[in-house]
Amino acid sequence: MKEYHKQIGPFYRSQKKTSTMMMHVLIALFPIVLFQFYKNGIVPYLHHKVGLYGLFYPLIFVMIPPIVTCITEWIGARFFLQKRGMELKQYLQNSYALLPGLFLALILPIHTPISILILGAVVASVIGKLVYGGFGNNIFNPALIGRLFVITAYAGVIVSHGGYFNAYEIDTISHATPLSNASTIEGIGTYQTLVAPYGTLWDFFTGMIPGAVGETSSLLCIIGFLYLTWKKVIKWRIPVYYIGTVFFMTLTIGLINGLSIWYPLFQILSGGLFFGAVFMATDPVTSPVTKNGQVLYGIGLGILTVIFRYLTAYPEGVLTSILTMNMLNFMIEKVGMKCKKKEFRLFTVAIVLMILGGIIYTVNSRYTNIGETLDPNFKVYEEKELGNQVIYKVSQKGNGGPIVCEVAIKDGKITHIKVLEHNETPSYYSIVEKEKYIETLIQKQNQLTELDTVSGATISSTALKKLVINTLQEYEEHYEK
Amino acid sequence: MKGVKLKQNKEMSKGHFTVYLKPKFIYVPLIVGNDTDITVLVKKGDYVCKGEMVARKKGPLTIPLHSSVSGMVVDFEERLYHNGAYVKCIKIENDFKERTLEKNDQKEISKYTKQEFIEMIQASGIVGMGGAGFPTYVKYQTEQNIRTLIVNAVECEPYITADDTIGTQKTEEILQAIDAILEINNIQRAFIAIKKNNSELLHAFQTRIGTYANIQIVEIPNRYPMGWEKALVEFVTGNTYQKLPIEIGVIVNNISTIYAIYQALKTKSPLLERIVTITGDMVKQPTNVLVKLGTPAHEVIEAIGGLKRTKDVLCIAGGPMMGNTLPSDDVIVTADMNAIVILRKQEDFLEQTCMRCGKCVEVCPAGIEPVLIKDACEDKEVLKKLQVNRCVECGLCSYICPAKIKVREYVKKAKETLRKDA
Amino acid sequence: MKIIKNGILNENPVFVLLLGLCSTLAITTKFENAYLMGICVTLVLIVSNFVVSIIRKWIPSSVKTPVYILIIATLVTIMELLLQYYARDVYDIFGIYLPLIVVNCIILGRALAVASKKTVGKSVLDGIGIGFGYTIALMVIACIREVLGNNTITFMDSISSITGYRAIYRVFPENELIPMSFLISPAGAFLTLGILMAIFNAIHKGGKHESN
Repeated sequence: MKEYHKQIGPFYRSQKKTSTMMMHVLIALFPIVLFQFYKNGIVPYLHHKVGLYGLFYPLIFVMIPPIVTCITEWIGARFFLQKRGMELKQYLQNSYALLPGLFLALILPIHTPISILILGAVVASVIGKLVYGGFGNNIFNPALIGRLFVITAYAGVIVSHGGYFNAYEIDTISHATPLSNASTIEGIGTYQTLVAPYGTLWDFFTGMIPGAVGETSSLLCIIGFLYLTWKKVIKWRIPVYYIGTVFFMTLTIGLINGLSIWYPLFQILSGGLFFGAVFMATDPVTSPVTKNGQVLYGIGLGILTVIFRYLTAYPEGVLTSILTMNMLNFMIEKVGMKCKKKEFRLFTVAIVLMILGGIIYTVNSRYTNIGETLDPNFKVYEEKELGNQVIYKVSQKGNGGPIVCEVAIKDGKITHIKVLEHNETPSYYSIVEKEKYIETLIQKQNQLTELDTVSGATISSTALKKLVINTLQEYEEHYEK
Repeated sequence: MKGVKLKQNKEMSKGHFTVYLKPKFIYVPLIVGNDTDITVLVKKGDYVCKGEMVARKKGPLTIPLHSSVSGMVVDFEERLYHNGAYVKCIKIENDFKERTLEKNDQKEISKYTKQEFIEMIQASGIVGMGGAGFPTYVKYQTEQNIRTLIVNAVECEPYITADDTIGTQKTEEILQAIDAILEINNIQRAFIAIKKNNSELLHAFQTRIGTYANIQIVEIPNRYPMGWEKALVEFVTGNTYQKLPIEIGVIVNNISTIYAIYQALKTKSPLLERIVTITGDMVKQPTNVLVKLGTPAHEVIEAIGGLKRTKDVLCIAGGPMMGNTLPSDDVIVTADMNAIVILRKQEDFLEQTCMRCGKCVEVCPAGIEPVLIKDACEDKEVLKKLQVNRCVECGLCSYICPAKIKVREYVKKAKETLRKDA
Repeated sequence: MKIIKNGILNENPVFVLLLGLCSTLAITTKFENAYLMGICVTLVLIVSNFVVSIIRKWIPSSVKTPVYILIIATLVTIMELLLQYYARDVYDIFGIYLPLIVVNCIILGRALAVASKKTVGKSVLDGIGIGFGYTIALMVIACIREVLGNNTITFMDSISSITGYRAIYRVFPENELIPMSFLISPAGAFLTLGILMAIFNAIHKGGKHESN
């Protein structure tokens, strides 16, 4: 008796499943995890800055959030999404549960306390994914939601524990992360001020610079990108157009300011741009499906990142630009749906060139004027003449707000500086006081440009130094004309 | 390059050929395409000759249906057609005498006029034998200047080797037919599209094509669905069209159809038999069989050796990508059925959540977005914008989806929604 | 009794009807502020419902809204003056949100929807119910925001001039996690409100669905 069944075709199905794709991403992330273990665990251990616990701490750090997200996802799927039995098991295997946790661990500062890490992972899973209906329905990248929550809510706590710098970096590389450093520099910066404090551009490329746990190594991100494109797992157009746009825009900005090609390279290699472009922006659920949509998405991300880096207070810009484009995703789908092929390319190129032109113009007008006008972070409140002394009440923006000082200048030299109020983090400011930096400033007021800032309290000491420079300049302009 | 490289599985039936030309009964299904509005020209008890017209489709596109044997009309029965439905058929009992209507009057095949050519093809009931079933004469009945003829011997669906068999067996006849068609219709050149890795067929044509100046062989990459008309025309000529290839002066014909045209022109006999590939993992001896139209398929399967298993099997009419399963294997062989594939029953994958990976969009040969169509299944406005009707139901979207969603079914449903609206 | 329960659960002004949200989000930084605001709004609501319900038959429908606003504004001004005199600290804490009670959608909304149509007794009961619902909602939100965001809970601080006590307690031990200062900010207010709304509706309506 022949039994013929009815099935719906096609009868060839590809062997790739969602879980295989997740496995490929994990494989691509594996070198990055090992690298961060080397950078944050082995290197400090070899330099005798931490003990055995500190050696393995990065590994523990990286393993906790994925476990937490898995558990949260399981609870959420079981109770809120009402899945049971086989359906539950299949859902969990195919729901990319591990990845938001792993990404979250890699983009947070190394000194995030464990309790906050766990809370961040729970928030990433609940608010980033479950609230929208589980995997496949979320609008925002869950790892970025988790990081946004942690940074907004607990920035002070993390910084007080040490922030982004592992035990080795804190002593040798005393400045802030490369882009925070860039934002405190006047004007556009030079190779000496932007790149040299951290090494060479090759160090930027391999990733031996301060930053979040895993997002510094651009070399490993490129390798991961090539692997994932070969296996056809990610949407390759997005990182290509994203990084390309940032490169060309910063190239133009650099060229206008007379900086050669190292400048755009510096920009694309810092701030975790490669990691964000390859792993976070290409999250399949939150990025467009159509090819032209992906191109637009990548270009939009590039433009937004450059805007955020130059024209706003955020030093890195990658996180906020990805979240913003996630929000605009539905609109981009519509555009990608309507426009196919050729007429689209011309239209996009025209619009993009216009936007690029406008942005580059704005950025430049902001930066090139700085040499002539005063530092906007510097304010003069009072100017009194007392005999042959001039007493200034001035303020310079530090880490937590303006540092208000009283400066007395006699015959063109500063005689004393008294700090009236400041909002600096106490642990940092105490280092400045311990080093008697203010006395050093007064002593060496003629060689201020060669004077180093205090390691471990860079921003506060830089602010004090700038305050002295600006006050002297103010004095020169008014009294020695 | 569009398309996906699929596992071909053609070795099991390639090169094997046999005939089964003695069915006891034949059935003429009263259906053309999806249209069952057919005028029947015989009644029970009539004697018909081989090649006699027994029914005719009503309407402007007249398509005749012939009896492929001589014998008595015994009944009208409901039998299984290859679309899965049961249709009314004329049951004719074969008297094995092969009596034909009139003497075959041989004429030099390139000496037909265009009008005679079109009438001949129409009267022979030739339809697209690659599976589309579109009446061939309509393609030639055009005022426009036809510049190119493309002979489609690509056969991109896995398992099927019917076109390959007829190509290697009747190479010379096919070349003569192409030459005649070029002459009659004043077409400048012809291309024969053959898959790059099909070395036997390439060799068969290359050794004989030297005498034909206007015919060239084009090698097609081994990707599915390069045998689709639009993809083929784009690859061969470099131009694309909106709805029909005649817009850019091209006609595409399947190679089996070309052989049927040869027979019609040479012997003035209608389309009465075709080669069907009976293959699959569950067939004992997969082979290509020359059968008379109207033969029930299960007889043929028994005649070539039968199945390895009879439980938990699928009987697919057509290929594994675009074919559909049948409830039993006594389906009637018609001109547009080119294969029967018998496979083991497949694992039913549970549909997961769509992860919007975009693979279906990348792989779609028609250039539409299956995943967006799936999301907008009920919304008519959006569906119109998504140009759902460009879908050819090739099945690549369902093939490639990692979440194992049957995307093609959603697109079909969307097409249905739009059709109801209009 | 049913009417009061209705006001607290089915038609909870904050979680279900989504009325009066601006003062909800701004006031709930301290537990004490929340219940004080709740009491003020409840009192105004009860009295306004009472008055509107009494005079409902004599007001032509074309001038309904201005008349009701007049009544509510009068009541709020009376309350403002009383608070200014007797509880100056509370008045300072509320700031602009006290006059804003006039345009708090709850009061006008209930006046138009309920008090102008139902009898005096029912209107007053509705006022009590809605007011309680509002107060309870505000207290829950403030509790969460203050405990998790500031690690304290304030029972009596500003009104200490009346009662003479001061009751601010620290809840959790010194911890890295708990002073989530962003909860005190407006962003945290929205977040808390959203989550509580989701939980409330899930439990309350979810229960209803299952029984269906």
